[in-house]
Amino acid sequence: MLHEISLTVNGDLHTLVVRSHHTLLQVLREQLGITSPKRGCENGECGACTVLMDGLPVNSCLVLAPEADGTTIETAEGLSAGGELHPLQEAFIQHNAVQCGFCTPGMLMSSKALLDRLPHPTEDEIRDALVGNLCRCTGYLRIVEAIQDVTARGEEGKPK
Amino acid sequence: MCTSEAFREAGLWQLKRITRSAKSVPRVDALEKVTGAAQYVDDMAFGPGLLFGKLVHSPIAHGLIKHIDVSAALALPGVKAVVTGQDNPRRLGLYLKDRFIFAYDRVRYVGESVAGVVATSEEIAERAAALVRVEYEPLEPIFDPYLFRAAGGSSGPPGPGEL
Repeated sequence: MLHEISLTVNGDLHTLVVRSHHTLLQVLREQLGITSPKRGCENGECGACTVLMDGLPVNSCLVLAPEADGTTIETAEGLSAGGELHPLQEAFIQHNAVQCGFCTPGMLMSSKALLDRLPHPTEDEIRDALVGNLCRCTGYLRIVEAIQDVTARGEEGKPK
Repeated sequence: MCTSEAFREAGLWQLKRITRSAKSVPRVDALEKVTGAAQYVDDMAFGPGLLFGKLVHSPIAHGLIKHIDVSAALALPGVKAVVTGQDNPRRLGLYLKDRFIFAYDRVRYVGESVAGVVATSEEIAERAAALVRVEYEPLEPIFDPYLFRAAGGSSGPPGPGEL
């Protein structure tokens, strides 16, 4: 079955026809060419497909395409505005929080959702917010440190 | 010259100078990865002519393959080919050529590939893989290397008909 949906992705409004059994992940990657959300497990377990839907982090592999009608979607491609990197992106680079990079877009979106909700999270709150994002490479420490750096910068406006 | 040669030539005290002048540099591809620009293979677009493959896996740990019926799979529109171990009995391997591309006459573990389907879309390939009918004669699985030897198994690559 086909559905027509309208959704805003990284600020751009798209109206498109989707199949009822397709996922938001498929729509983003295959119909809109937005490939930062990844096919990791396609089972809601790894978080590599994490995007923000109306501000909340979701596993886009578990969102059916028609469910995304009328929603606002944010992905890693939309984090840098006006040619400037988002503080989280800068921190991930500076803190070496990226190795193979496959988990990175999902990590960035989960972290953004966390900081939008809790500007000064504790380490436990950070780790809890990332519990749905698996990383095989880094051991998570540098990812947590990158987020803590952004939190600290937020307080003083200066990089640590 | 490469780094290890430089160290050997420079000597220990100069080694300290080299390490002290080393700088921390950002990862060369970090920018692409954090902006989502990095293209992994699954991100690449190869155009509408791209074909997709899906595998058919054994649900049992040990058994003989009695028959594989690929007719229903081949009949599905969009399916270009279905291949089985009988189509190409060559064995592969890095140090020991002990693996058939697809199981040739028997399966030796749950999940062993017994056939492959090629189709014009991932969904068609998946549906066609589900239509491949494999008839197995289940055998007692052997999980212990000593029992394996006692049953007649050897440590070389198994040929057709062998354990």
